[in-house]
Amino acid sequence: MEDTVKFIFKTLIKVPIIITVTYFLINVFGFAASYFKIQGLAYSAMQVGLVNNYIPTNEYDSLHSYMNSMESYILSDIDFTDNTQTATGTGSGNREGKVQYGNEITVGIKANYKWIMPLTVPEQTADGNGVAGTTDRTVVWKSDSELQAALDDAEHDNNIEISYTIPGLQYYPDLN
Amino acid sequence: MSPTKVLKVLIMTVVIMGVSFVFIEMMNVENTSARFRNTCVTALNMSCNYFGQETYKRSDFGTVDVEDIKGNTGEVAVSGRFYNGSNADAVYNDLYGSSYEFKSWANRFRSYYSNIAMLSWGLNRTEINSDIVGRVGIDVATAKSNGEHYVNAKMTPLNLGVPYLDKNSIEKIFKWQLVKILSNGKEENVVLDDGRYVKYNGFNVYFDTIAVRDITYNVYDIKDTTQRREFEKLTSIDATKLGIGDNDERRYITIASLSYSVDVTYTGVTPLREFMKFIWDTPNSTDVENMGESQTMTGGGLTGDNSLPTLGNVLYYIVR
Repeated sequence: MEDTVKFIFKTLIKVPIIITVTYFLINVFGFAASYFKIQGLAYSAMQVGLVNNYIPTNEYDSLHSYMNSMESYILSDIDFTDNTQTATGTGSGNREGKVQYGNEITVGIKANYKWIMPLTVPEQTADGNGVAGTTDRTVVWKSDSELQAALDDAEHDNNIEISYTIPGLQYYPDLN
Repeated sequence: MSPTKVLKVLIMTVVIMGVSFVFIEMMNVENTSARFRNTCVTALNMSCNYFGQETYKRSDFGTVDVEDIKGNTGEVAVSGRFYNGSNADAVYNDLYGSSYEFKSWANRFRSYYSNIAMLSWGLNRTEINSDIVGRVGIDVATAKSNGEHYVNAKMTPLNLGVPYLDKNSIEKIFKWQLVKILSNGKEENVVLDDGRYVKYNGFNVYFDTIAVRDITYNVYDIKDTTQRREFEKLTSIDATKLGIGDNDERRYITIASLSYSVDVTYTGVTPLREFMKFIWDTPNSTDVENMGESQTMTGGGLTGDNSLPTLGNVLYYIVR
């Protein structure tokens, strides 16, 4: 009897440890795969910046379209960093448009990797999971659009950010 | 926990760490080496473009030089001065007038291009063959006069539609560009006090060894079937659609092929070397201490000075 109880307790402890370790390994591989994807994208953007001295509008749109196709459940908010040299860039420290040969520019990509946790409950909203037949509710449910607005307002700390500081290699005769 | 179990856990930890480090290093070498090679090719291509811009002819000559690249000690690692001379005339003379390299190049190509024959006369008073200039319908006296006008206007072979690249200038531009890219804008990545190299994702790139090994010029007569096929293979241009006649000297298209070399050493991004030293090094053994720095490492194509040359080729041509 004692042995059986011991065995049960050992199993109760082992199972969550195994689950935690498994999710940890999944996240490690997921993060590594996502990082290499973003690294490849950042390198492509860097090459564009090298030969043009900035990200021209056409290439910007192409890269953005590729970023949108890369987004998934675990990888989101893929975009150029705020200090990337673009044709119509905004943000602190950004210089708009092209610069002359030899001047340093910055090209970077950022993304947010969402960690996969066990027992994650999807958000319940008034639209999807309303409480039927109850008029006296003590809990107020947000609608899908209200919840999305709240999520957008929340700060997204991009946990993947790859940035290159490179010289512009294109000589523009129309610049000083 | 019994000592046996503790030992097993320790050994397992060491094995897992070692395997992880090796895996990470393999991934890093695979990714970085491909990107590094592409970066070299891009930098060399853009060097040729920059040389073709002939920035030394700018009226505000003082802005021709670019910023020197400084290292971690604050000293200059790579100069931003690409041309020899304090003004446009001096640079032009250095590149074409007094250059032995250009003279030997022009001796070969003046038989193909009348413009080069005229320029050669203007610069070095090399005699003009009447047959060559006769192809374009001018006599020798007119050709000589044209040659002098070319020099007064600082015309170059590139202006005349024939690729000629000064090896020293291209090498300086290439070196500056490559070091600037690899250093990622950080002076601490350019090491001067412990050797002279740029740190790049686990690689040490020895910037003093960055060199344009050779610039080879091959002329392709697109009216000759065999040569036209070779030209198409190199450039993917269908020469039959260019509309060039038999008597047109534009039928001769010159392709410059540049080969470069860069010495690199891989030092790793993980503490794998220290890890292996911890495992294998003994008081009497210096093998691991010298790993990567002596001739005992084989199979990696290391040269005698322990660095691995990375070779590659770039093509430059003009179709008029």
